[in-house]
Amino acid sequence: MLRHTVRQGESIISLSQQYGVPVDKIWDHPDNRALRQRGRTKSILYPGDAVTIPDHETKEVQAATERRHRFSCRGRTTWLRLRFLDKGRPRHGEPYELHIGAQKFTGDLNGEGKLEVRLPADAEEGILLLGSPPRQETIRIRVGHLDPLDEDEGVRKRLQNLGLLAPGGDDSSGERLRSALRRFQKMQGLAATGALDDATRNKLIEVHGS
Amino acid sequence: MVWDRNLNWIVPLRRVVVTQRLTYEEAMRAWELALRLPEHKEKMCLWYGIAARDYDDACDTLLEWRYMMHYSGILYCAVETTATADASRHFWVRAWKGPLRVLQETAGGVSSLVPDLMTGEINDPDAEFLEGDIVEFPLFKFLVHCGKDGYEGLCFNPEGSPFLGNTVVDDAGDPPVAGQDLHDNMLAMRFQLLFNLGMAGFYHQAAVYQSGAGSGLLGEPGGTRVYARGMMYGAVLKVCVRPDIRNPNPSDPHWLVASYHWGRRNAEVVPTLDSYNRVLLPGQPLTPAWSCSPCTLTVMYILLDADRWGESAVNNEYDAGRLSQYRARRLTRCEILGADNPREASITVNLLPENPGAPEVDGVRQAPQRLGDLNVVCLYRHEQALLRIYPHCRLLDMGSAGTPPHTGCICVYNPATGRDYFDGVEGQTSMGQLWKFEASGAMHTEREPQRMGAGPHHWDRIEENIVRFVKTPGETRHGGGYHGIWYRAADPTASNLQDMQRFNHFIMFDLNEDALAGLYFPGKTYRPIVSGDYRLKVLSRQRLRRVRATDPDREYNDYKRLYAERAVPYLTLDEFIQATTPAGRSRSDYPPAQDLLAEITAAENPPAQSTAPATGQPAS
Repeated sequence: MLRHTVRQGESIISLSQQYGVPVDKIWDHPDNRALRQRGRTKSILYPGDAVTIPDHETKEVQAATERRHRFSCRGRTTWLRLRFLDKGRPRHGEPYELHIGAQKFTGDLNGEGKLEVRLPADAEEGILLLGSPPRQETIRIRVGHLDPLDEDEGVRKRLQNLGLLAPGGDDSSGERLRSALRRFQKMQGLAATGALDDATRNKLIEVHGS
Repeated sequence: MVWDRNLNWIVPLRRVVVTQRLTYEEAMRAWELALRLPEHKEKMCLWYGIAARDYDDACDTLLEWRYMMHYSGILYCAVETTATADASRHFWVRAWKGPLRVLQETAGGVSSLVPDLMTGEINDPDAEFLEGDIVEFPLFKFLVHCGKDGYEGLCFNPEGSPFLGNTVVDDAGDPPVAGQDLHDNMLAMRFQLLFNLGMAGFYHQAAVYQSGAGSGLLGEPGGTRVYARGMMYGAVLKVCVRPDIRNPNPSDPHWLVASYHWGRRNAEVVPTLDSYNRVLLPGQPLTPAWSCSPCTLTVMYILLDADRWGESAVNNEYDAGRLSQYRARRLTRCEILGADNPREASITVNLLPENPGAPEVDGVRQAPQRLGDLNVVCLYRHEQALLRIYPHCRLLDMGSAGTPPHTGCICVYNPATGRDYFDGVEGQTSMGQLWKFEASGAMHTEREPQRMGAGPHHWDRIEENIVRFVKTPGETRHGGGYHGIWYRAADPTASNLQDMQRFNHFIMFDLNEDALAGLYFPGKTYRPIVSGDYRLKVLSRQRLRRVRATDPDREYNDYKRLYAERAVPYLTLDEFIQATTPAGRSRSDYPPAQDLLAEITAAENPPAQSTAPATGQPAS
């Protein structure tokens, strides 16, 4: 058993792949209760979180000598689901080309403006070409880089995805974040307080999808 | 202010002329800060009915976009969940290249400004804007962020022109409807278009002469001094032109800026240096190809955006119902009626009585109306346009409370510098400065040779805004002409009619011939008796066409030579290269001008194009 300090981009799923321990065995480990209570999920951790990784389980297999045996280790894959909107409306039917590692996925966004692909669990970075030339957009996909909603950074990144907040820039006072929240609240018909109350939080999850 | 010193707001908070090179980020910053100025905020909130808090939030959105424009295209997500991206909240600008940029791009001095084909937006955050470029900020998007949902469906018109008020369209490509109004200054923009053309802004884009109609002008390469002059769309230019000259063709993709001398082959109308030197003082801005009547009428109707201008212009002018819908100050027509003796006829603009029956004062009959911003004065078969021009700051003060300046005042800027053309107008914010625009008489029948379009159009500053006209000594006949066509009797002669038809003008005359001696326009009942058979069709102003200048009376076999003889003060490519050649580099480091010309010519005339029929078909 070891304690793993989470880096940006890691999730329980990617740690499962990394350490060869089943997802549920990591997630359900009693030492990780605090993570669960703090609202972390198997998909979304925060840099600095400490995750207890149980030891490998030993599996014994009977095999005769003088014969060849084949053992396969199933590599874990995971779903990546992305949704693209234009002024709040799905961009359905637009062609996409997703490059992650050596893999390439192509298709059209579905009626909800979504694409769904299965990726290796440790995938972290990809390039998405969306649309057709000459209006093709290039989007960098940062898999596992979405932070928990309980952290300011998690709120920021969701608002950034929704085009309401820019990455970078000085916001030590948090005013830009409050302003972006206020605009989000107005767009969603909520009370424009600039605070992440429960209603806003739920709406953000609903609109963003996570 | 420091932050907008490189910009000149030709339409406040919406459209600028770049006066000094600046980056995209600087332009966006200037827009944001201009929006945040309290006085601007106050006006915007008033005009568009925006709550102050919503306005501030929209400014914050813009601020975020300024940060975001370099980072857009990153999507944070987590596996096994959904992440949603909505990148539609951007504020990319629309831009039009200025003449300097065109030259520089030709010479390879700057990276090309590449607009999005579908929207015309410049979505390269590293782009730079140069002097003379025109940039329009997406004000309609800002308004959406202010909670004005009515602007939601608008976008930039990739074929729109800042001069024509059609830079923004809805999703279907149609002009914005009521409820989607954007403040503009169409009057100023239209005037600017005329002015630029008058300044011999013969902007040339590669495709202009690609069509068959222009192929005859290409000929063999000639001058090598001037190549491209930038982009100029003119959808509002039309002058009376006889249709049997070789150009007019309904399928011709170009709008015609024709100069036509009927009856006499002169060569002074195409705005070349040669023609300028011959007809006017050096440095005086000209608008060739206009006679007084088409000039004044067209100016009026273009500026007012009056319905069907140029076709039934005279008729329209007297149709109060048509013009009354425009907010521009009343179009006033004054006919200065003189006595037998020559003398100076004076009008003190701001002291004019509004009573149409005002008596003569010191032998000078006063004009019946107060002079407006647009005026036509008819002086013995010769007409002049009196235009009141304001400095730019007037645009911010235009209109009553809650009324954006869609029309209403004329401001003029130099597209190359973005500054006022005229000096000393800063103090004229409220009163403006009157200028007289005038073209030589053209359509009258008494003087030979008849000249239409042969005369230059020039302008003068009217000192102290007091208009004075000097009657020709011995001139006793007056009031018998209209729009330059003088008629001798109630029944025009065949010659009269022919003249009139050619110019598609109605003759209006008073039913009571005896009343002419004391006639004021308007004020009587008129009856049209003639309409033009050669009426030029009013082409849709929505369809932008490139401008082609032609002079059927002069053998310009090579349009480049025409450019080479230009009179505009812009640098030629050679001059530009010389002026910008850095120390340590010689002229030979750059490709010879002839080579560039050959490349351009080749690009303009690919083999497939060269086989096009000479009769001309629309360019694709």
